[in-house]
This record gives sequence, C-alpha cells and structure tokens, in this order.
Amino acid sequence: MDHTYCMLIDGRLAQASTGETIEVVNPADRQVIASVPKAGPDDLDTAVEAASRAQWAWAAEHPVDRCRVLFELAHLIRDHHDELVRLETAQYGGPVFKTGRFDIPAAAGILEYYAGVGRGLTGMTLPVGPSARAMTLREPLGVVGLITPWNFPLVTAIAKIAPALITGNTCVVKPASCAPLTVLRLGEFAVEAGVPAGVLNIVTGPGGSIGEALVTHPKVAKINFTGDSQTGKRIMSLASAAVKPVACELGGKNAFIVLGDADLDAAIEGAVWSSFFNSGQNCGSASRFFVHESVYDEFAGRFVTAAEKLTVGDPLKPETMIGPVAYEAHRDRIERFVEGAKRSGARLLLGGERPDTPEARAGFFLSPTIFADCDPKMELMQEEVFGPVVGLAPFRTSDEAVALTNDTRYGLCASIWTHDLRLGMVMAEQIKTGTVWINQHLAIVPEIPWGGCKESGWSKENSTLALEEYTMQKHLWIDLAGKPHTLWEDMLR
Amino acid sequence: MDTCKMWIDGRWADADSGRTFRTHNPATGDVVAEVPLGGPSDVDRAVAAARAALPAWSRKSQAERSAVVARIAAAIREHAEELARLEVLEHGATATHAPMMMGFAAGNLELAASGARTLMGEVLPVAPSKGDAPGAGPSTVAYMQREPVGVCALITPWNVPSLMIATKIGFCLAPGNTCVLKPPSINSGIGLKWAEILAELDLPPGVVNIVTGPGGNVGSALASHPGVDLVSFTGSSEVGKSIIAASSQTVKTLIMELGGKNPAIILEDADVEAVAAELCSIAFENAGQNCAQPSRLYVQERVHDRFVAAFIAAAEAIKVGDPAGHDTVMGPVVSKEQRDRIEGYIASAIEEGATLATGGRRPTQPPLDRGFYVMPTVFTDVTQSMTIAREEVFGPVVGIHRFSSDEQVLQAANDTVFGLCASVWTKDYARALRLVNGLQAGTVWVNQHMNLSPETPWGGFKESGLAKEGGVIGPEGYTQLKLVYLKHD
Repeated sequence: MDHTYCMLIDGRLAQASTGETIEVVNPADRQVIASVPKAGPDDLDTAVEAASRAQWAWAAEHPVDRCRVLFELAHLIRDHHDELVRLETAQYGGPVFKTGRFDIPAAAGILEYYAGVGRGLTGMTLPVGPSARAMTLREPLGVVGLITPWNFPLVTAIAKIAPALITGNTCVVKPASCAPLTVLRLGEFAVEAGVPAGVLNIVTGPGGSIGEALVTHPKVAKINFTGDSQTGKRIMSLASAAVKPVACELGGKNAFIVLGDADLDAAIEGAVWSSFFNSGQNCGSASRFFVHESVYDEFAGRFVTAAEKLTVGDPLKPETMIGPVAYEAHRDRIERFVEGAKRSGARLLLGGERPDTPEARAGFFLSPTIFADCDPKMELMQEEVFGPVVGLAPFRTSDEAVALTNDTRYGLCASIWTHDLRLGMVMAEQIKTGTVWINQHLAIVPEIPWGGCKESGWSKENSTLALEEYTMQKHLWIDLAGKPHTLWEDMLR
Repeated sequence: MDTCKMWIDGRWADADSGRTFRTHNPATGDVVAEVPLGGPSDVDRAVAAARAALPAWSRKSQAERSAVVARIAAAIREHAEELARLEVLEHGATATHAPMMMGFAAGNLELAASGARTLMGEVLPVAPSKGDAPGAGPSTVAYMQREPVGVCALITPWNVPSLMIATKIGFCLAPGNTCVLKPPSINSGIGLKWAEILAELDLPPGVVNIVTGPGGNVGSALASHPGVDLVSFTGSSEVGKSIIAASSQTVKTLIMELGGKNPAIILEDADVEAVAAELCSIAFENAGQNCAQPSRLYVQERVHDRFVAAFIAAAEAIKVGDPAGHDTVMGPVVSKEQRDRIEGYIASAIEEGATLATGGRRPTQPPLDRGFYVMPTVFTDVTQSMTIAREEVFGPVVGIHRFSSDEQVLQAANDTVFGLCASVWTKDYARALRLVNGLQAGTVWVNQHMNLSPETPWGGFKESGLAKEGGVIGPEGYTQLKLVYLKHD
C-alpha cells in the first residue's frame, strides 16, 4: 500500500516533527503495510493547543452545523466502505465478514445516532422557590483526550469522537499504534468534510510517551480510554495529580451462564459466537462458561463440535470466520495462558495450539481453544486473556452460578441462558456487571449504554449516557429577591 | 393554473365526488389551483391506507424512520424555491418572508429526524408494598414504553402553510405514526405540491396521505373517524372547539394549537423607540396572520405617548404591496372572508370608543385596489372590555393599552380566555422574570417576540390549546405511554 499516512493536527495533515515513523504490520502475513508518523511531545502539544484554540468557536457553532459535520463524516465512511474494510482487516486481522458487516457500517451508524440524540441534550429548570430562577446549563468540557484500542479500530474511535464533537468538545485522538490506519483516514475525511481546524486532531505514537503526555496535559479536560485494566489504572493514577476525570472502558472476564432449561441450540450458537468472534479479542467476549451440571457434558461436547466448524484463515477471504490475533506479542501472551491452563490440570477439549496450515503459519494465528473442568480460581478463569481461549466449569444452583460470576475483579458483562425469565431476572439483579444479556451475548447497538463496574471501569459508551461523559451541567442562579439571603439577618437587628 | 390530485395510499386520486374547488391569489383574485373536493368517503380511503401502513412503519427502527424524515427535510430544502413561490401566490406571503418559512420548515423536519433517535421510556423506581406504604408486587420491574399513537389526522392552517405541514408530518412520522393530512382549503395547492414532493421520495404507501376539502367536510370527518387515533390541529379556537367536540365520542388524543390575543408588556425602562419599531415589524408580519403575534400592547403610563408616536410612525412606514415585490413588507390578507371579518372588528373598535390612530382602511391606489389588502391599523385608548381586546382578529390590527403598575398589567394581560404567548420588554430582569412567572401563557419572551427555534415546543394555556407541539420533546407528543409491570419471582 503506498498511501502516505499523516496525523491530523490543527487542520493539517502532518508528519511527526522528528520525522520518525512506526510500522504497521499485517498479522495475517507479517508484511509491513504502512508507516505512520511517530509523534513527539511537540506534536502532541501542538495538537492540544490547536484543540484548545478551536473549542470555543466549535461549541458556539449552530447545532445544525455540528450535525452536518457528523453526517458528512458518516457519508464519507459509507462512500469508502470497501477500502476501509480492507484496511481495517489488513491492519489488525479481523476478518472481512466482521469489518464489512459491522465495523465500517457501525462507525457511520454511530455518527448518525449522535447527530440525532445530540440535539436533544437538555439542562434542567429547578424548583427553588420564588426568590430565584435556577437552572442548569449544559456545557462541553473543553478538549478531550481519546485513547482508542485496536480491536475495533475505527468504530471504537468513532464511539468517542461522535459524542465528544456533537456536544461541543474538541478532540485529540491517540489510536492504538498497531492499528491506526482507518482512524488516520478519518482524519483525511475530516479535512474533506470541512471540519474546522483543531476540532479533531489525530496523533499517532506510543502510549507510554504520547498517551501519557495527553493524559497529563494541563489543557486536556478529560481522558476517555478503552483498553486493558492495567493501562487504565496507570492513566487514572497519572490523571489524579490534576484531579482530571477519566472515563475508562477496560477489561472483562465475562461469564456465560447456561441453566438446566436453556435452549441448548441457541446457547451453543451464542457460545461459539461470544467466545471466538474477533478471535476473542473483545472486552465483552464470554470467557468463563458456567454450565448447570445436568447439561454440562452435552454442552461441552456440542460446544466443541460447533467450534470445530469455525474456519480459521486469511481474514481477507469472505468465508473466513477467525483471523489472526492482532500482533505477535499478543499471541505470545495468549499462549502463556494456554500453557498455564494445561499445566493446571484443566481438561483441554479443543485447540490449545496454532493451526497448522500454510496460511496460518504465515501469520499470528491461534486455534479456538476450550478447556473444561476449570477451577474458578485458576489463572485462566481470573485473568483477561483477550484471545480465543475459554474455560468451562459446572454448577449446581443458580445462587452458585451468581457467586461464581461475581467472583472476579472485573464487572463488564454476563449472559444468562434459560427459558425461565423470572429466574433470569433474579440472577440479572444479583450479577455485578454493567450489562446482563438474557439469551444473547455481545448484542451491542448504539442505543444501549456499554460499560461496566469494578475493574472493568465505570463509564458508559454509546447511548445518551455517553453524552453525560462529555458534558457538565453548570448551575445558574438568578436572584429575584433583590437582596442577598444570609442566615444572620435577624441577628443584626 | 395547476391542476392537482390528492395522494392516497401512494397513488394520485381524484375526489370520489368528481368535483373540484379553486384557490385564489389574494393579491389579484386570480385562480391559482384547481383542487379535488374531498369528502367523507375519501377520508375513509385515506384512513384505511394509513391504518394498513401502520404496522410496518411503526416497526421500523428509529434509525430508519429518522433517515426518512431527514430525507423529507432535504427534499423541502431542494424544493424551497418552488414552495416559497407558491406561498407567495396562494397565500400572499411576501417574497422575503416565504423563503424564511421554508428554512424554518426544513429546520423543524431536521429536528424531528434527530428527535426520532432520542425517544425512550423509563424504568420506574417501584418497591414492594410494605406495611401501609403502597408499592408494586414483590420482585417486579415496572417500566413505561413509548409507542406511536397510530393513525393521525393532521389539519393544518392557512397562515404558514408549508411550515405547519412540515412540523406536523415530521413529529408525527418520527415516532412511528402514519397520517392523513388535510391542508387548508384556502391554499390547498401548497398541500398538493407537498404530495408531489413526497411522492418522489419512495415513502411506503399509506404512511402519508393527503386529502383536500373544506374543514366542515373533510376536517370533521377526520375528527370523528373511528379509525383516527390522534388529531393534531392548528387553527382558530372556534374550529378547535368543534374538533374537540367531534373527537370526544372516540376519546382521541389531541394536539390543539389555537388562537391567541397575545400581550406585549412594555415597561418604562425599555428602549422605547427601538422596542416600538421592533414590535411594529413583528406585529404586522404576514399581515398580522400569525397566532403568535402581539395584538395587545400594554405600555407603562410614563412612556405611553412616546411609544405610541414611535409605533404609529413605524406602522405608517410599512410598505404595503404586491407580495411578489421585493420591497413589499406587507401583502394582502388571505381572502375576502378574512378581510370582511377584520373590517368588522375595526368597525366595532371604533364603535366601542377606541381611538383609530392609523390605518383602518383599504389602500386605494392601483394595483392595491384589487386584492384583499388592509392597511396596518393601530388603535389606542383600548380598554379591556372592548371586543378587539378580547377576540382574535387575525389581521393587521393592534390595540395599545396603558398601565400603571406591574400588578395591574399582569391582571390585564391575563384577563383573556387565551394564553398562547406574551412578551415583556424591560432592562430590569428581576421585574421581567416576575412577570414571566405571573403570565398565563405557553411561551413568554423577554425583550423579543416571536423568535422561535426548532428545539422549543410550542403550545398555549387556556383556550389557546391543548398540549405542546414540536421541539426536542416533539415526537413524544405523538406517542402514548404503556406501563408494563413484569413480575419475576
């Protein structure tokens, strides 16, 4: 690919001030597909300053004009669908069925969603009595720093950019260095769409330098980060020195609970999907399977049979269901978990190795892997693997299933598979996660709030709740009484 | 002359009666359009088509409906010039005012499209009953879900024809209703031009149906039709009451945007000359034919005479002329009937002792001797008991009252069956806000009048109407709330 990728800083497409670059590698075949600028501290600073300068005028734009910008970006994304699909797949390995049916259309759809709900964001008038008129005014925060991951590169960036911009903030986006290309193309679309200079800035560089500089920059009002919990903790810690708010959407160790009366056909299909979709590289993936003892063996057997049908291979092929994982070090990490699980005595039902085809040997591929009879306390059942590896364990009572589900540092999501809605609701109320699905897993659409609790982070992405992340309500009180109200009036007489 | 057809179930239709009626250019009397004379059987067909289209339309996602309403907005922007031209010809809107109305119409549609995505229900904080504290059953989730009402009858007024068609269609369709639109008889050519524009957009048949005919015929058929779930009407309070009555047998949901006798209150610290000029310009826009216009001006004693002098001067400077003329500020009123009615009010004001300060007559110079013109008319020394202080004139007639104290003017301003809107003009915000709080009006402006933004819902108190229409809550007005109790234990 010979496209020159540039950052977007103050309305200009720019290389790094140092001239340094980072290579982007296709995990399917280890080929370098592009270089992108490796920003230096000066570049980051220029971007933040530009965002700061542009923010007042952007917030003062007519809402119709901010909407038009979002609609135009959506339009350009749809117009460039095929190109973006191939780029998304090539840079991080997600198969084209995914990037084509989900990532690229969803990115456009989220822009359109926020151009809609963004116009309905209101303040409040407050019942304080006749001596004053009190209300809250909705205001943007200022410059927001958006740090976005590689597992859904474009759509996760859009999910932050859209609500940030529609509410009148300006942005500095730092996409994941291993998969920045589609976000950088978005920068080019922003220029084409006439986004005012400084409103959207995209700076590529390592988290440790550029990311941290963004977090600690005094002119950045808030950080919104999606990534692993360890990095989230680091960001929160850095931000604390300035009492800077941080929105975090972090890891998960999500439970998939199969009750004795579950529709096993649906549960198996849901299990395979939620475990191995995107090679398990989703914060919302199911990775702990708690199956009622009465259906445990049947479930395990059918789970294996269904997973064996998954086609692993070249992500550019339309029939490929499982592509490579995103980069080599990531595969190494996943394999360490697999080895650990093998040593722990859990029963390996499927996979546990790299697929042995010429196509798979060319890149960073892993076979879908299922362990059974897992001790809920073992490493595989407590640490986020972020790969195509899951563990099964049986349970006897629904109370036990809930306790097992809650026995984790994480709290992102969970699913319950049962015909008994009443039982599902009871369990849903007791499970400590941000999302509970009943007879579904990984259904995420723009209208629903996505976010967890505990070490999964506490902020919400998508839905109208995300608008709260990017605004504050300023209380305005207009006195009507004509004199200050003090508590010592009568004492002065 | 345009020959137009109604649009029912995605097809062009003549009236079952085979008959037509004509619309006229109020500046010249020339025929503008020949329009099908619809009746109850045409209404039946249209309602049936809307009912048949309802399941599929209401089950579309919010995203899909939002996109459709956005496309209607885009189509209106594309056809704005045509629609504006027709508004000048068939309504007498001025050539400068009509394009603004099209921009406003598209703006309301765009906001309705956005609003389609925001509609949500609420989960309610119920708890199980405990002792003598009532509650829901144990282990119960209670929530409200918003659903479209169903088939809506949209009956639009003649004074801002395209704007009202846009507003009602947008907020009706966004949450999943289908509709039958009855545009105003006086300027139905505009309504059927809308049909042409909508027909190009490939809407599912039956989602929008347009039936033309008189209110007494088509309008009342819609208001009482058992297949209509909601009536949204903008027009006079008199007709509004008959629609409410007609709809009462089937207990329809109602959105009624009716008349006003809107007060503007000018306090002694206002910038008198500037306020007089601004209010005058607002009062005579569209020849005084907006429900929102100020028609009772209450001027504080100390500045009364200065204000009156400035207001009269401004009124006399208004260029009355052919609406198509680019320097025309005020065109004719919409019809002979309306002019007769307005002239009746002028006569009664004189008879009841108000002072005719300016106007009160027809222009005599050709070509204005042809066409339904009335000169900008100002009465002073108006008192509360006079007819022009109590009844909506809906023409270029303003009455000026004196007042002494805030308490007195509040009482006088509220002394009306209407409650649509009002304005307060002063530099003293505390006085302004106290008056704002005291005024019985659905919209109150401070130091402006008639500035409307699509985000703000519109609707009056008292006999000025029922419910609010449009704004960020616009689609909600066209929904109903279903309470669900889900017991799970």
